[in-house]
Amino acid sequence: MKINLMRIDDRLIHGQIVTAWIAYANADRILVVDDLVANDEFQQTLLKMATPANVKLTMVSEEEARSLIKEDQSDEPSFLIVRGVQQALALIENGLDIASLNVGNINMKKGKTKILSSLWLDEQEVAAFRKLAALQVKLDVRTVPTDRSQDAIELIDKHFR
Amino acid sequence: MENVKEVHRVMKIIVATHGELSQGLIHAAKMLIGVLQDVASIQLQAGENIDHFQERFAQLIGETDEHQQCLIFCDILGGTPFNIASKLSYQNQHIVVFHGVNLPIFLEAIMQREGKNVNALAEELATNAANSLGIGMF
Repeated sequence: MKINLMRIDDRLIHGQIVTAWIAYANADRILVVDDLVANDEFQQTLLKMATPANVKLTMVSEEEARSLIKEDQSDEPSFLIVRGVQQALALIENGLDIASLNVGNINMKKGKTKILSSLWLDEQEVAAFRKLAALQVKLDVRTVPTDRSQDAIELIDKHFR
Repeated sequence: MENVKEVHRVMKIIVATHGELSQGLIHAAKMLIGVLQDVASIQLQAGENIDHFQERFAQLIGETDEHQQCLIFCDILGGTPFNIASKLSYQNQHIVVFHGVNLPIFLEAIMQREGKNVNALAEELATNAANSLGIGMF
């Protein structure tokens, strides 16, 4: 498997993805790794509708992803999307080799701290980001490709000790 | 007994877009054809919480009675306005979602909707859509 780009985005596939990121990633396939989607036919239908006709869409659970990443020998350029930082960390800890992780939208929720208008984190998420940084993964915070890239840990350090 | 349900049943049109595009479409349409009835808009704001947007959208739909036909125009396939509109449409068979709206298509819908089934109108619009595009040749 050839992963050109990996992104955290709790909206999964939406406008910023279909207009800017697919082209930026130069990807022929979107790979959504998400347990909720893998068990929800309606969500799968919505994601299929949201995917442009010239792009393939693969939706798998986190467990399926682990074997897919190990066994898939194709060199099809892919764009991997996960919902949150815990899911990203789980994949990377299980052997997914990624140098840089794009951090997109993580929605506001009660009890979370605002880092940017598009990025709200709680303590667990902060801990997961720190683990990723310790694994030498570059944490590239950008909602769209033309944004200035910001380092997640630098942003986090302004709000969390 | 009169059948109240059959009396007033204008198809409602909602434009749902990223940012101010929907208001712009409505503004432009008013310049061309005057007052617009049963037309509403909703904008996804930059940085808006997606659950909040969905709530606002559901509320706007809730203002129409559930048997009223409703055509939702969205700006782009796969965008959040489209994704949320599709969810709402899935829950109510009287709601149809059309993506890729432009001003000519929007105007055509407003003027052609009377007495039509919303599915039939949406198909007609999609079929004719290419006619709204072209190159000015001199």
